[in-house]
Amino acid sequence: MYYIEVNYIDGQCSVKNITGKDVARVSGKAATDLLRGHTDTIVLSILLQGDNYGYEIRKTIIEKTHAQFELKEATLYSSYKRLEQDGAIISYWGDETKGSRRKYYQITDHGRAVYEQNTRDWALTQQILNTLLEVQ
Amino acid sequence: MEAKGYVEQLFAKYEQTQEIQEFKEEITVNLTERIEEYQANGLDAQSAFAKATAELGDMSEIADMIGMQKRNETLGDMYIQTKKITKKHALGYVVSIVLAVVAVLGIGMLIFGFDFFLPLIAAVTFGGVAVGGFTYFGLTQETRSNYPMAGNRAIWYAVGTAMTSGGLLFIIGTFLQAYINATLATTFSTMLFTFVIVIVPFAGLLIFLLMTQEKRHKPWLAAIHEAHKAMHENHIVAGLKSDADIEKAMQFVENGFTVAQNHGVEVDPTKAAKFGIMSGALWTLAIALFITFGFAWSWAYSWIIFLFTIPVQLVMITQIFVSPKK
Repeated sequence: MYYIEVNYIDGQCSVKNITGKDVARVSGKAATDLLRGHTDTIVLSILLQGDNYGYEIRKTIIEKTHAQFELKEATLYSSYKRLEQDGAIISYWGDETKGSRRKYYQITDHGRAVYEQNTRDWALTQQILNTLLEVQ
Repeated sequence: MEAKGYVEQLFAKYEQTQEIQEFKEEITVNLTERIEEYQANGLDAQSAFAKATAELGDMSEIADMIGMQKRNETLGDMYIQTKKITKKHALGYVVSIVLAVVAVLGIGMLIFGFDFFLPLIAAVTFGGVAVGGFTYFGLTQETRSNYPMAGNRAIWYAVGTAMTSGGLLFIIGTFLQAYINATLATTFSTMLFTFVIVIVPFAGLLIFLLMTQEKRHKPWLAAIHEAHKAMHENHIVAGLKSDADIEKAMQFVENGFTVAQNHGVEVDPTKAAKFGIMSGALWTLAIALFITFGFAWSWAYSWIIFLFTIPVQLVMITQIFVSPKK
């Protein structure tokens, strides 16, 4: 079992096994771009279940992957900005008192289409890699 | 609140735009909820704060993205966005053109010896209004380089140009008529009268408006002018043809510069307002005296009073200037 830790400060991306030991280390823009692309899809998948805000979105990711996927908040924030820019999600303020209002995100139809496309691409990539790499 | 302070200092060096302020609020709320969660799970306040802020990661990249993005958008908007002419302006221009055409026809009729009175009136009024119209709509037009002028001020400009051009057209028309009918001698006083009573004060108004005019340049153009001026003062412009010269100029601009204080003439606004009112009083008085003397004495000479009002007006103009501070 592996988990991937993404560190944006030095552009390094490491694959660690369950004990936290570095198994593989990938660096370079291509790798971080690849995973950044997946972050977007992950955010979209969570928003498909319903509107949500930053704190809950991150919590959901951690819980679902049983703490294997720990994303830095910065990664998520850049994901939200990117998705909003592309029109895949929209944002709105909650009706809590000002100063403690939450910013909620909602997936759009375009976002749903992007999610569909991305999951198809990922399934294909997985299929190819599985046959080539004989993953256990 | 600790979380709020932390987020504030993260974005301290960026321009506090609406977008950044909203982003800070979002981050603070999420951060606070995480801190509260860790405290609820047993961590003490200090550790909860440390853990939550560590999970935040490196925010500088996003901050740069948003901060810069805002500046680029604004500059782009001001430079690239081509403002279409509004319907009101288009209508204004069209009406002015139509009026101008009528005025030209009037002048034409005068030249070819048709009736005198009607073509002259047409030329003067339609021509004057047309010029006023072009002035008003042209000044209140937003262009890529300039902001539109305030409506009220533009109206004064329009009045000034309308009256001076109307007066000029009247003089031209009268002159043409007199020339054709060889009655130049008698119409001379009419022409002089018009010149003095109409053209001079409204030309004075236009001069005043121009002197008190602030530049309406858009920021990008103002910035270019500033840089130009500074380079001139530092003798950099000369020979800006070779690559080395251009490099030097760019280096100069990038290093920042200050533009020397303008030692030109300045106008005191309070005095300028007084000037406006006093001018009105002056000319009203002059007209009143002109009429009185005309009836009481002789019309042929009563216009001489206006020769006195002109120097008085000029002296009044000098009173509104403020000597530059040293």
